[in-house]
Amino acid sequence: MLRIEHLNRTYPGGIQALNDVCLDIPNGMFGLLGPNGAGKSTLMRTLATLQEPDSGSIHLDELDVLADPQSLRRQLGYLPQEFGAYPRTSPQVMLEHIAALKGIPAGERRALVEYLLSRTNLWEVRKQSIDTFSGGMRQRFGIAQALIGNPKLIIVDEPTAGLDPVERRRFQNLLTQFSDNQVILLSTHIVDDVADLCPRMAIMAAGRVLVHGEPEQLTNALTGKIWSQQINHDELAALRSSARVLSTRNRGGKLEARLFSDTVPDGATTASPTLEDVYLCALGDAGIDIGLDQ
Amino acid sequence: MSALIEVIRFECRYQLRSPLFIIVASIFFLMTFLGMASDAVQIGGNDSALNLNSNFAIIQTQLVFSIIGMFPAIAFVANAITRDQEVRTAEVLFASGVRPKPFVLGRFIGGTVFAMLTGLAALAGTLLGTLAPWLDQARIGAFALSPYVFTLLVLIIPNTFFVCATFFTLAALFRSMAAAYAAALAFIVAYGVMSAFSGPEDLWWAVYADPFGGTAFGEAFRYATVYERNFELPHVFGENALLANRAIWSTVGLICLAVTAWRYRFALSGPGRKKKQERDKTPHTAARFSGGVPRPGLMDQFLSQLRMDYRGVLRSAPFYVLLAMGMLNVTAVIFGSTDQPYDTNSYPVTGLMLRAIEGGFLFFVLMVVVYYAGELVYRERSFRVADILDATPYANGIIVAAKIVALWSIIATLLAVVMLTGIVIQLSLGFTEVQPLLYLQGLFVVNGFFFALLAVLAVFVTVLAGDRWIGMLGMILVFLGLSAAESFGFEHNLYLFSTPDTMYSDMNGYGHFIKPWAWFTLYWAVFCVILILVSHLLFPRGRVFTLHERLKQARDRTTVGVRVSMGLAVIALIATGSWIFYNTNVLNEYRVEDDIESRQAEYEKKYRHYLGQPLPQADSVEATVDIYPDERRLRSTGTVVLRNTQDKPINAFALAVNPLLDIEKLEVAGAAITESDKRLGHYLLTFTQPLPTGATTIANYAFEWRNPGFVNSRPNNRVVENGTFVDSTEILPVTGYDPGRELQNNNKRREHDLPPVVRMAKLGDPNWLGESQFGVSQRTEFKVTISTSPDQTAIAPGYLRKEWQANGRRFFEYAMDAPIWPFFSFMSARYEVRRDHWNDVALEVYHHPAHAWNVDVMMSSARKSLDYFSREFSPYQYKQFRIIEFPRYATFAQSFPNTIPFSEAIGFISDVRDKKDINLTFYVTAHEMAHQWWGHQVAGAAMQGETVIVETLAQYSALMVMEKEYGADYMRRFIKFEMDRYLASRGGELIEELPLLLTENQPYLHYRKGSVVMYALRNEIGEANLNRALKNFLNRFAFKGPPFPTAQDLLNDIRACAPARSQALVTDLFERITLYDLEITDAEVAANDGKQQTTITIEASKFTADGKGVETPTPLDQWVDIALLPEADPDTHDNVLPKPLVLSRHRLVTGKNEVHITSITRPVRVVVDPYLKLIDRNPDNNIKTL
Repeated sequence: MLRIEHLNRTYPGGIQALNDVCLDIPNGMFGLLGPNGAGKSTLMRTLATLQEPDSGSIHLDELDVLADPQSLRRQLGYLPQEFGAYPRTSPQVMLEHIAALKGIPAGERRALVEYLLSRTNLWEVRKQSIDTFSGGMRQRFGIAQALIGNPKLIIVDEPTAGLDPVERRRFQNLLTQFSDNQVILLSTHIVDDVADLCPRMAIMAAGRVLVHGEPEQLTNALTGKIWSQQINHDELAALRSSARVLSTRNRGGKLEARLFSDTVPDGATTASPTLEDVYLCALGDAGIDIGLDQ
Repeated sequence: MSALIEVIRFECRYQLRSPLFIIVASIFFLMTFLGMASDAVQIGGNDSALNLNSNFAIIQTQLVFSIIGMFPAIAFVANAITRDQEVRTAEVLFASGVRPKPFVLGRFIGGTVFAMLTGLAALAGTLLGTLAPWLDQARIGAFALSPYVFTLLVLIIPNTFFVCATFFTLAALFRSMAAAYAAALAFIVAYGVMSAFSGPEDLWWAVYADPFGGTAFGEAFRYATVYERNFELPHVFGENALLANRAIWSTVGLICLAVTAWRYRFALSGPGRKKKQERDKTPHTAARFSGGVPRPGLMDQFLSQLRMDYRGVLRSAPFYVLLAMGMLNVTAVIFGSTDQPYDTNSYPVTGLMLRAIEGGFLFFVLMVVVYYAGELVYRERSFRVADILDATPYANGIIVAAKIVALWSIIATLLAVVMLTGIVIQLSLGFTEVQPLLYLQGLFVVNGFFFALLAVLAVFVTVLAGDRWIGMLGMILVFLGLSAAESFGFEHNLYLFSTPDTMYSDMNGYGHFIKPWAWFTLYWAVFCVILILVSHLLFPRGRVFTLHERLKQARDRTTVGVRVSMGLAVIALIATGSWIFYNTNVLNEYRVEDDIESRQAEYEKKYRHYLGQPLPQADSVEATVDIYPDERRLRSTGTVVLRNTQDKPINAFALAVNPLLDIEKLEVAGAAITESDKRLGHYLLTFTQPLPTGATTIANYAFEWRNPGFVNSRPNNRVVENGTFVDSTEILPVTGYDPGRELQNNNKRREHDLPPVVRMAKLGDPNWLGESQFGVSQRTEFKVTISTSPDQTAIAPGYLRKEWQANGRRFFEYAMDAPIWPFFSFMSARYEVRRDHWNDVALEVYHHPAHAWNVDVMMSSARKSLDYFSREFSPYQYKQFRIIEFPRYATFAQSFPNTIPFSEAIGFISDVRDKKDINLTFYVTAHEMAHQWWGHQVAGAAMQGETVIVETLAQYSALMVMEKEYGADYMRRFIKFEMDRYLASRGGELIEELPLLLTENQPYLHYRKGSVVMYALRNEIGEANLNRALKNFLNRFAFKGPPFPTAQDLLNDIRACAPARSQALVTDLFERITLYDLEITDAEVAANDGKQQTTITIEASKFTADGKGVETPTPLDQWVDIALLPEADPDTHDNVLPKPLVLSRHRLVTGKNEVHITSITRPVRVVVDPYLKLIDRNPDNNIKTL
């Protein structure tokens, strides 16, 4: 159980990346959803002991993370949003190195690395330079290294960004295999990642946690408030002035707008809420327009 | 076109905004400005009589900046082409619709313009520097714009264009800045290798091969005189290679650029070719691994990180480029250092290899250390693996530790490769006496330790800088700062991050250099411990945004262990520092360069008025010298009987004593010390009753030369553990004021408010006829008892009378049976002796046991010299001739009566096996032997031309012995070297060049020109006539005096033996500075009546030069040798001519001459002045192939 309390962080430029963030995260997969610049990566890096907050506290079970980061690192797997590799270095060599840094005894390293390589489908390319990897292979290498040392906390920051659908699916499958008794924190700006994987989630924007809970619960809470309406492109402005438009989608030369309203808007039909609606609602409530309109 | 202009404009805006241009341009401007306007900054160094703003100096400075400027130039252009990848905007740009050609050209032009502007800044700095009002106006010539325009057009623009174009191409090709920089390092090393080849007989293509034109400029200025260097510019369209060189390299640049512009395609760096995968099976079962929380092992983490770092370097291409360059560099410096005068070689003894490597390698290692410190320290960040690694539980210190040890491993790898290279070179030269342990000691310990410290400093600076490039700049600034401090007179190794220089001698090993080296190394090692601790504290982990956060990390890491280590290190630093300070500044006097000069100046200012005062002369010297090699201590006591040989009484006289001696006793009977200046080594003895004419008095002295502890720099290399060599001026009192201590360089003299050097007395000055060039007017009886440790042999001039052992010491008594000049040598070392004889003269060579190679040559040269000199000049005056080896701390041989101290660095290790080479050992031995005549039988009066009698005649004598041994053809090569060295030295003249007869102790005249002149004279008047003249001269003056002979007396004897037709040439040779320009413009041969009729057209002119090298044409009307040559023997050197078919003399006049010569055999080549009787700056066009 990871407990985050009143975390604050302001960067030298004055940007407040974390604003009183409080979250309780139980074992299992936890999705952190938010647009770019929401403060997700700052939170992830702070949890990964790569930077310190201005104030607040983090506890993993009994462990005070900020007071004793080294103890956390012993139980941590971290897949950063962006990472590279030493040039001309194979995943096997790199994983063995990380295993050594993580304190895996020399005698066990090779077997562990081989196990991880095969689990992550990298066995065939284990001697190839990581430089030459595709995005998906690279992310699978990333998760392999994060899993070294049987960590209690695994942090994966935007792991599916830029992957093609097949690779994304493959990666999601990989993640679901490891989620028994660990805290797995997955940050993403892709709603489907959370919808598909996470029993619990939070939505972050502008450094704040907007909502958190179980995706199903959050979705259900919107039942009866989400509407769909077919309009012409030139009617959008008018519609916006009369109703709260969450998103629009091209559909056969027309626009399908999804509206949020406690009452039935004129000409709208009822729609079943999705996690995306939850996300957009939360952002809208916080006054953030991420411009999903087309 | 508009796209091109747009790209250029964008590029210029970009460069203007980046700080690099402003920083580099200001640094360049400041460096050249201060280089000109301040003494503290030296670029190239200029201590001759040249003006500060001489054309030569302006061009040389810009040449230096062409090389330094390469690095910013690369930054401008390589950055211009790779920037988009590095900052990851490539996709945007490549998609933006700019076409490749305007893009490439625009970026190139933009970058190049800025590179040229930095060159222009350097030029402007020089120009403004010359206008600084505080400069020594005596050294500033009238301002002229032409050298600046010349330098800009011929040097800066072509060089910058070449550098920019080639490195732009490289960067475009590899799409990487680092590749361009690695190539630049390689280029610099290759450049250094090439500049090792610049002798007169070296590669003809070097002038073309140097892309910066340095060699071509050097060649164009090679024989330029002071005047020409000051005011004239090389002719771009003249005979030199400048134009061709500039054209070649500008074309190379253009081709590179064209290829890049034509071939460049927008593409992202990234996946290269994919390797074929080996298909093997997945592990069958999923291995199990430890559950729970792992316990990190510190050592495991460290070793793994070290392996990653070292492996990373080993797998990078630049490392192999550097390694190859290191090997090449070492090869070049090794061959450069076995290269001795006259293009001869020495044996590649390991000590010499070490010296060569040290000399050429330090800078290389420094570059490697700086480069790889930058590469390694922020490697995780630049390859973006830091986030992953920093989240693992590695212990904080291991990264910094791994980086340092990786850097050490790189250095060790380099050194190992260098060592192997050295050994391979030794073996390939057929030299098998390799000393592997000495390699290990010299490379890995004496040099390696310092490199290791350097690595720590580089890591520290890089960590502190927080960025690789800033770190590199930081290291450069650190070293510039340190060398600036040094030139400001801050010379103590306690703050210069340096260890004292060491010098290995085969005889004395590292000797007394090791102790200070060890202490300073320990001191800096302790300092480096502190640097390591601070680096550990400051090494950023994770994302650090502010200084505050960095300091917080540092605070968190300040554990008890760190505190204790830091405390201990500080204590150790203070302790070792104090001990060093006690040795260098308390036990010994700490003196910097400027102190030494000030003292020289002070001595001159205070005591010069004693020069020329009447002095009592030594009738006899009875000396006792006790040498304690282990303690490097020497005790010198004795008695001198002094006589007033003047025609009036002497009231007082000055004594000069080496200021480094402790004086226990200095007494002169009947006189009191009335001035005593221990610091400057001056004493004035005043007689209570003036010493009457003819009367004698006795001087008693007891001195001790101690070398307690160790010194910061300039250790006493004279009294050493094995190979002590001191002379009487160092350990005996010397009567009078010692003008030898005066500052000789007029620029330095002005700094110390001294008038220009007081010139030597004019030739024939009657006031100085009574003093010989030894500074005395009579010879002295000499006897010495010299003692040393029992395993060493001690030697002084004279014959061994007695040898005994007492009190665990070995004693020798030497005495000379006839008076000698009062200038003695005292030596002691562990020697092996070779004995031989010539008639009834005993020949002995005392040598280091490992240096037996050339003892036979010395013996042979000694026998042949004795043969020739005693037959042609006069009998040898001694019954013995000894050569005694001393360590390489000095590199000369010196002739004392029957005793020749001979440096281990010259003839002893010369490789004389190749008969085609000039035999340096044979030559030096003959020269020193000749001094037994020229110097010890007859010495000149103390005035102009004195060295003609001693040195020029010794050169001539040696030439004759060599000619008998090796043949006349061989001598042409020797003379050509002498000619080259004479002509090339004229531009470095400090005061003024004088005709040979008036030489004021100018080595390039009395040795080099002396050889040329005497050889020409011999060829002109014949050996018999010349030797008769010398015999007459000896008859008149040997063992006599005062008055002592002058060069004029010698010339008179020569003229008396020369035919009338040669008198004009004698005048040109001795009394004028005469130069000729002979050129065969055309030569044809036609068969006629079975005979070969050769018609030769010769363009001839003649000049006389003044002391600054300003030439005036004079009419030529002279008989000159012309030879027709057959096919050359392919086995001989180019400079050795075959025996001529016809050799005849022809009258040549100024202008065009046509000469007809008939021969039986068809000639292959014709040559005018084949035996180099005339001094011609371009002897190569004196020869023409038909």
